[in-house]
Amino acid sequence: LKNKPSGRAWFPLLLCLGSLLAIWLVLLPWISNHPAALQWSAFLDSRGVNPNAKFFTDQQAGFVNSRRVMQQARENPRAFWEPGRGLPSRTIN
Amino acid sequence: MTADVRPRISEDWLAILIGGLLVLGSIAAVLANGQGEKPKGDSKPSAWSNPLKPYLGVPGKWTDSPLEGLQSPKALAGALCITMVMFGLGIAFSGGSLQRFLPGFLIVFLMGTVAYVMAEQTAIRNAGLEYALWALLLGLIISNTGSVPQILKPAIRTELYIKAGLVLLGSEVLLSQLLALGLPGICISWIVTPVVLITTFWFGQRVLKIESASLNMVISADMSVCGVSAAIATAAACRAKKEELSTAVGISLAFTVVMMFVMPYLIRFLDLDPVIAGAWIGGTIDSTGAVGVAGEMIGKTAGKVAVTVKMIQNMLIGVVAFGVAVYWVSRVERTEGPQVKPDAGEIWRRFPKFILGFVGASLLISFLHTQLPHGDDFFKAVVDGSAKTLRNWCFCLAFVSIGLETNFRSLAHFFHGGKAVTLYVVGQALNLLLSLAMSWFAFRVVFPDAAKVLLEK
Repeated sequence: LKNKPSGRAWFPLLLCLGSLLAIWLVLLPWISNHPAALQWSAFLDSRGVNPNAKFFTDQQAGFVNSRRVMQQARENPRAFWEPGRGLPSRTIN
Repeated sequence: MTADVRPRISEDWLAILIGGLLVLGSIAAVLANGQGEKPKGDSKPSAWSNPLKPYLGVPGKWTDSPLEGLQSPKALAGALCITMVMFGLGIAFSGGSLQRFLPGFLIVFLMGTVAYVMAEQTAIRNAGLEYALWALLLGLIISNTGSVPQILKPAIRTELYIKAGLVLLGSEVLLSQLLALGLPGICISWIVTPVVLITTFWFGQRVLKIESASLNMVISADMSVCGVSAAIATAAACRAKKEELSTAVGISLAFTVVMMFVMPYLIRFLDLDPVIAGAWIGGTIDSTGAVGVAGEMIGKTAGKVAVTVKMIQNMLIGVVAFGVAVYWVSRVERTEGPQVKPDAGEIWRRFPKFILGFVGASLLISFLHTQLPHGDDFFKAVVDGSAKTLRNWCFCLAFVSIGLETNFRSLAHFFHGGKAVTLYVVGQALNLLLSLAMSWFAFRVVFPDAAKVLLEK
């Protein structure tokens, strides 16, 4: 890699950065304000879900939900730890 | 890696030192802050709190103006200060030049902030396109359209950021959470996942004959375990090339977005009940965020089961990284190098030591969780207040560094012939089949009462 770009070499860099600016400052805000996008955003907010979460600790709803499940499993140890407490034909609905 | 002089300490031990001090600092801050009075019958306020929380943060969600996401400059400045001081001291301790490192680090951190801001735009955030992609893209643009300025080079320390981040990630792994969903959770997460991982790796080596075993392993792990985090951990464990990690992350993110929207429709078409649907989603979709979205699209029961199965699967990261590291030093590197069976000393010499930091952090937080009153609150205070923020910054800096060190041509090489994508598709198809079969078997045949309990509010 060269360390000092020539004047011409700046052009692709500026073009890329300019395109990113246009997308993030104009196009994406416009998409985000579309009624369908607003509805989707409201749904995610109401459920406390962060689609960008990388690990379960990044997910606020994950803490709450997993605690609820752990509590259910603690309160019903036989259901979660003893196999065969039901027949294949039994429905769960 | 851009080293100034021969380091006094290996990168793995340095990562353990930096990551370990950050973990211990987070724990000490919470312990020093003490335990508040917890009102009876009320889960808020938390019994434990982290005094570092207001001073550590990442850019937040925004829609129209990026400034909406930068409402807490104090938290960003705090994250910059802590990471700069810790990595700066680490560089100085290992014999590098602090004077050369700091200006570059400031710019890399700034690029990481821009990547975060890009990822937090509402439309991007709601599509699950996380900061790793944008950090990589920004680095790639700079390195491929112009040139990487000399000032940046001392701060491009990909492995160090990744390994320190992984030690921090260890503090987010509570061993007791393995039992969260009883035996059904263990069957779905800890039986299917390793089977899929090993089978996919075997398929890549024997059938697709992928040239690079490390690329094969990173894709197999990120597809079968939990996406980007697993890819990072496995790549570090098998010393994969940066381009291989980027390839695996790119494929994983692309398929995650597709699966996040397609699986709920497929589940409705198959008319699966919510517990089985949630377990299937949690066992197959790569990233935790996308699992949460797809689960909630089905309903609250599916959402909570999906996230819990994914959480149990997340626990596998350390085991997989450890297993891959042992396999690599004892089998793969042996076949690539001299045909001599390495002894225990040789295995230890080659073993990626940062994994010990990950395991140690996990054991420490798990021990404190069981010993301290209100252990759940203590864990949440440590993780939410500082550990996960610092871990995310470490990974963000790592992906900026990867982008700055990568050129498009070398990246394109890994997509050539479509073997990497084929590997992911075949592995994911197997994962979908086995996870569905195991979810059905666990919750319909063996533990139907567990499913009944989960269906209760």
